[in-house]
Amino acid sequence: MNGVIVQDTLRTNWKQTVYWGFGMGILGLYLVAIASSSEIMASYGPLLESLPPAMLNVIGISDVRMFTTTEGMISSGFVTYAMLMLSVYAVTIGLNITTNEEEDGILDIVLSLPITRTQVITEKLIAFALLSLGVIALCIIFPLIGVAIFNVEVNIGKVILSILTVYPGILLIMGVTSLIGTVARRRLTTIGLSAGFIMASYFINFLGNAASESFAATLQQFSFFYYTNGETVILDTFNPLTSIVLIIVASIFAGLSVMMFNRRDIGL
Amino acid sequence: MRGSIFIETLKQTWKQMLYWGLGLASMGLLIVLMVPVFDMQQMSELLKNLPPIMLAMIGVGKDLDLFATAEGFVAIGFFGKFALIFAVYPVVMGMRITANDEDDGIMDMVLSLPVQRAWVILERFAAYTVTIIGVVAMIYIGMSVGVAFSSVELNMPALAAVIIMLIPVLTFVMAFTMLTATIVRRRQVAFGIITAFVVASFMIQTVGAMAEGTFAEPIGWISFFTYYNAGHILANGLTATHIVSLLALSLVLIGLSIQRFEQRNIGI
Repeated sequence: MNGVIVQDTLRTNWKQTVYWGFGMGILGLYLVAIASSSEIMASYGPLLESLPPAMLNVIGISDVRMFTTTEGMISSGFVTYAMLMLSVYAVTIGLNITTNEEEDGILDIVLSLPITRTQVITEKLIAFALLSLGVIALCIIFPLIGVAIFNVEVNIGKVILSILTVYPGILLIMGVTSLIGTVARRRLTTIGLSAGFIMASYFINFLGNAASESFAATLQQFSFFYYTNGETVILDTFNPLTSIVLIIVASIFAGLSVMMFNRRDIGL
Repeated sequence: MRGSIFIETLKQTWKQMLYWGLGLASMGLLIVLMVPVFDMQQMSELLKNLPPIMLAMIGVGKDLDLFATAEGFVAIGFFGKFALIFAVYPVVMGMRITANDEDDGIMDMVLSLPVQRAWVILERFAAYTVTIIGVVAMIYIGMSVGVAFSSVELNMPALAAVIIMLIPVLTFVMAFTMLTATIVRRRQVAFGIITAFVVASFMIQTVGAMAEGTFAEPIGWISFFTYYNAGHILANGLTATHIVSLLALSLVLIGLSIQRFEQRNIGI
């Protein structure tokens, strides 16, 4: 029956989604509480406005608006790190597509049921994409609760959109982990290679920020962190096309993992 | 035989140590080679005029002269920003001490051998601590190679202190992971808890530094990342109380892990 694996995956993994969403949401709420402090905003504002753009770049602020507006503060303090932290979640769900069951020796039993391999992996990918959307939803809801509690003046649309930019990044890592898992099979190898991919992307992004006049700035455009930090939303330079491209790339990785999974033996 | 688990663990882990060490050392090498093109090089005079709040945000403290140097930027930019990445290795290794074997259903086999539970934990912990030292040593070697092959002048003894401080911090994270795993048994639950702990510690420290003078600043002191302040170490050298505190806490966590592991049934 179509959709049965989606339902089962949602049923067995919703708790993990709630824990992650709750944890990350609380961090977002904490950031809103900090951003609500007029002392902080007052101390950063005039100071940052007096600094030249090159100086701001050095300390990781591409524009003064990232620290002089509440939505900018939330984005630079929460969304930037949320992508790195949710990378762990994305690897975890990527492992749940095939690797964990294969390593535990139960995937052959799952595949003995009257379902195709394509159906198994595709429905799991869909289910985990929905679950990660749930995590993002909680990441949005908690800061908004903070905005209401602390009576913070903020552009809510920008806050929501900047947090949403993280979602394509999660899908990308999930797709990459799923593909690595279907190729490498072993859990530890998959974790190591996925972690390597994330670390390399983070590093490339760091180099691009630190050396904006060198080839590193060009290289930075190959890092998914470059497109998932919410900064462009705050600076009104957000291009939805970048998110769409990330989702397409994630879909390609997912498609490749379906293809690889269909072509090989299952570990017992 | 005493030491056999230690040796066996090292035999099984040296490749992972090598991969992680090479990856992180390559990053250190690249950072050093790219020092001449970092924007920071043109900013030293400007940095000297920064007010304390901005220095706190960068993680420099009040000793700015060092930050205006190449090793200052490497220490604060690389070791400061990558603290969360470094924490992944001890979490992975900490899970291997008991959680992975127990979740795979082979811990009962290990314990059927004539070895005491306490020694299984102690020897594995010691072996993984050696691999942490190995990874940290490789980071130092990577940076030293970078210095040798470039015209960059770096104060390597000062950087060595920043690198060495990684050992007690990472050991603490591994001890915390081990304790969590011995309490909750299940790998996924333990992984979730330790991830939440590391992520929350990182955010608390980061936000505490950004929001100097608010309630977030004293809260920041409960984060173990606060005791890995690269700028402070570079300026003042290693702080004995921080090292001793982290190592003492690690010993307490090891003791609690042994006590818990000896008193409960093993999952099969």
